[in-house]
Formats: sequence, C-alpha cells, structure tokens
Amino acid sequence: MAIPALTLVALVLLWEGAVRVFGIPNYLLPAPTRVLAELDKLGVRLVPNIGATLLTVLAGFLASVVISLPLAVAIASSPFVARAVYPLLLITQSTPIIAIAPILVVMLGTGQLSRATITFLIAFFPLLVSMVTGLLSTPREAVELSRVLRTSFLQDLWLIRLPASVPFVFSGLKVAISLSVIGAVVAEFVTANKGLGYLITQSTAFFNVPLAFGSVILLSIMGVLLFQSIVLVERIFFPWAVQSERITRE
Amino acid sequence: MSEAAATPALSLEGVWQAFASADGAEVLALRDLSLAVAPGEFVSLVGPSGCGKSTALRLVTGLIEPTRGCAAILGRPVEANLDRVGMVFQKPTLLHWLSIEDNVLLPVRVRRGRVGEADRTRARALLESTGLGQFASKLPHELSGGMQQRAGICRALIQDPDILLMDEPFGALDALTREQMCFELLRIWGERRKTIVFVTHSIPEAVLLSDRVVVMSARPGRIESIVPVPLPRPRTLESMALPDFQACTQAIRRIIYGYDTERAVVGAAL
Repeated sequence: MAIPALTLVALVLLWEGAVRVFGIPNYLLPAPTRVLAELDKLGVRLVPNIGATLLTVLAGFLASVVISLPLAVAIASSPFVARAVYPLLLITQSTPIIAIAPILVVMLGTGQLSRATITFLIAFFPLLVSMVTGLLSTPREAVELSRVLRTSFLQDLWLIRLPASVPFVFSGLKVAISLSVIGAVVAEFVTANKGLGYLITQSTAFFNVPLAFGSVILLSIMGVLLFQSIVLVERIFFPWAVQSERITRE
Repeated sequence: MSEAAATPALSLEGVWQAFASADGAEVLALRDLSLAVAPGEFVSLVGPSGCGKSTALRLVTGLIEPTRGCAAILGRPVEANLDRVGMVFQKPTLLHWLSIEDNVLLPVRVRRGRVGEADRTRARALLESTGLGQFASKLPHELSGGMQQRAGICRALIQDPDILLMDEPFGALDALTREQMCFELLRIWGERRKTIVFVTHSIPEAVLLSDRVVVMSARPGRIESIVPVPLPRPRTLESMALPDFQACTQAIRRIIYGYDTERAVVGAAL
C-alpha cells in the first residue's frame, strides 16, 4: 500500500516541477496545483455534477445486473434460447454503442432514461457472458450430484448452479462497474446538462483544461471507489468465492 | 436358500446397455448382466477400466435407463425407490460454499425443501460417529481428502438409506488413508447393516470388504465370475494375513488376467 502511494506522490511532484520549470502553458498541461485550484473554485457546485454522473453509473449498472441474470439463466438452461439470442447479442456488441447514442437520444429523449440506457448497453455484455460461463462451468461432479438427488430446476439453480457461478459473477460485476463509468461519460458527452462528462466537454470548449483534468481525476476516484465496493461486497457476503478464486489462480 | 426367497435389495436382470460414442457408432457397455444383491450384503464390482462397473452402478441410481432388461430396488422399479439409495462418488463432491454440516444435509434440503433442528442433530451425530464432530461448521477445503470423503459418506447416510452405492470412493485417496477408510466403512456397515455395492480397482480392497466379489471383464462389460469371500467377520488388519484372503485375491487375479499369476511370476524369475 505504501509503495504505490509513494510512486503516486513522486509522479505528481515530477509533474508539478516539470510544468513550472519548462513553463508549460495551462491549456496544454496544467500543473496539479492549478487543477486543484480550479476544482476548488467550483466548490459545492461540483456536488450536483458528481451526483448526476453517479446516478447514471448506478442506474446503468443495476439495469445490467437485473437484465443479465435472468437472461443468463435462460441462455445457460436452454440451448434453444442460447442459439436464438446469442447471435443477436453479438450484433449489438459489434455495433459501437457510441454510434447509436445520438439515435437513442432522439428515441428516448434527452433525459436520464437515455443516459442510463447507453450506460447499460456498454456495461451489460461482459457481465452476461461471465454469468453464462459461470452457470455452465458448474463442476461435473456437482451436476451429477444434483441429478442423483433429483433436484428440481429451481433447486438445481438456487442450491448448486448459482452459488457455483458466484466467482464468475463477481469478475463480471467488476468489469461491468468499470464499463458503467465509461458508459456514463459517453452518455453525458451526447446528452446532459450536468455531470462530470458534461463538465469535460464544457470546459474544453472554453480551453479550461485544468477543470477538464479535475473532472477526469474525480471520475477516476469514483471508478476506483465503486470497484472497491464490489470487492468489499464479495469479501463480506461471499468469502468462500474469494477463497476459490485464489485457489483457482494458484 | 433364504437369500433367494427374500426380495433382493437390488437386482439387475438381463441388462444390456448401449451408448452412442462420439463418432456416432454404437458401443456396447454391458452385455446381459444379471446380479441380485441380498439385503445387508456387501458386494464389490472389480474389473479393468471400461468394463462397465460404474455404468452398472449408474443404472441403479436411475441416471441411465437400461437399453434392454431391467433394474430394480427392493423389488420395485428404480425410480419408485430412489430415496432408499445413497450414493458416494469417487471425488467427495462437496459444495465448497456450504459448511460440512450443510453439505451433509443437502439431500434433506432437496427432498423436503427445509432443514429442521432434528435433521441438524442427526447430521451432527453422523459427523460425530465418523470423527468429524468438531469440523461440522468448517468449509470443505479446510479438511483433508480423507475427511472430505467421510463427509461425503455421511451425506449418503443422512436419509438412512437401505442401500449404499459407492463408485470408487477411495480411489482419489493415498494408500494409507485408503486402508483406514476401508476399516471405517466396515465399522459403519457393522453398525448399520446397509446393503453396499462398492466399485473399485483394488482387488485386496474388494476382498477385505466384501461378502462377494463380482469380477467383470471389458468390451463389452459382462460378469466373468462371482467370487464368494469366506473370511470371518468382523474383518481386521489380521484378516489380510489369512490364507483365505490370499486365495481369494489370487483367484480374482487369475480370472482377470486369464492365467496363473504365480506361475507367471516364477517364470519371470527364471
């Protein structure tokens, strides 16, 4: 923990020093102190912007979870559904979502719904794939056990397949939360009147590069904190899954 | 014979089993297999890999249906009496997210949807009797392989089945643990008198445990011979030193290899 912190501090100092020594102009590379000063200038007015982005991230992320889970169960349980749905999903994934984003805004309006939908479209696919993989990679012996015990479909799912897939689900959730942050920024680039993504487009339009830098830093911090909270949830509620991930890695 | 008069605990009558192999050709796994196991009897199936030992066992769990012939548990079709059967796998097959106690209780949870305090007491008593009492709340990976397999046996026993099917249950254990587990199993069997059908690769293990050893041969799987084991019970480490023990293992080897192994060894020495 101490070593990465030291590297970070060293890099920031180097950055500050280089900007001052070489007299780099603000609109090319602002010094860290200048970035902080710009954020400080906005002060509490940052809060609604951070809140707006966080709301979009969480809405898109939750939609991914809520839609992926039943879809993953359906795909993993029925070869027919898998064959019917997978090619369509692949097409939606091969299409750059950022290209559809303006169309979505026309269809869904300029509000929160559009932003959440764009975020969802960017975040859900890797999560779905991890969930399907997890459900299909139940150990062969556990499948046999389930059959010998004559479990019903729901018992098999609830007692055996879902718990067995938890490590996969969490690696999918970690990817999905990072993608949700990206998705939210993309959405705000396309349509927003507040948010950190909106701050970036607005500030760069007026060559206020220090504020753009500040927004990016806030986004990184948000991303790290969200990622870590997923890690924390896994540690607290599914300690055995963390354990089994470690075992499989060894 | 009284054995023939009573309903056998399980029976296979004229069973043929064919599978489609990967390239679509039909493979005959079992040919005309007939076997009746009396209540309380300990029967082992031995034979080379691919002789259909495990297939025969899976027929009795209802996981597969015979192509021809029929399988019965206590005189009724397999599906009707499945709850009278407990199964022990080659691997312990414990769910790694459940405590040992909850793993043992899994069949109860599946059968009745919920687990009561009486079930928990029963599970703890079972674990206690196999020396796992203080590990009830541990997760499977915290136990050694032998202890995990003992928990697997407890899980098979939790519904108090009449019949215990064991598919190479000690195959994944080291030699010493394996021997200990044999005596452990004999002790459990002595206390509860289940009908046990035990699949193994090890001839001495089969002889040490069984009343009868069913010797099978491969491609297609069929019963070559059934060897009764006249060793007195209870069996102990000393049983393995008895002349009858040697005679039985030698007889089985002769059936499997098709020639006199003693002479073969002497021949090699010359």
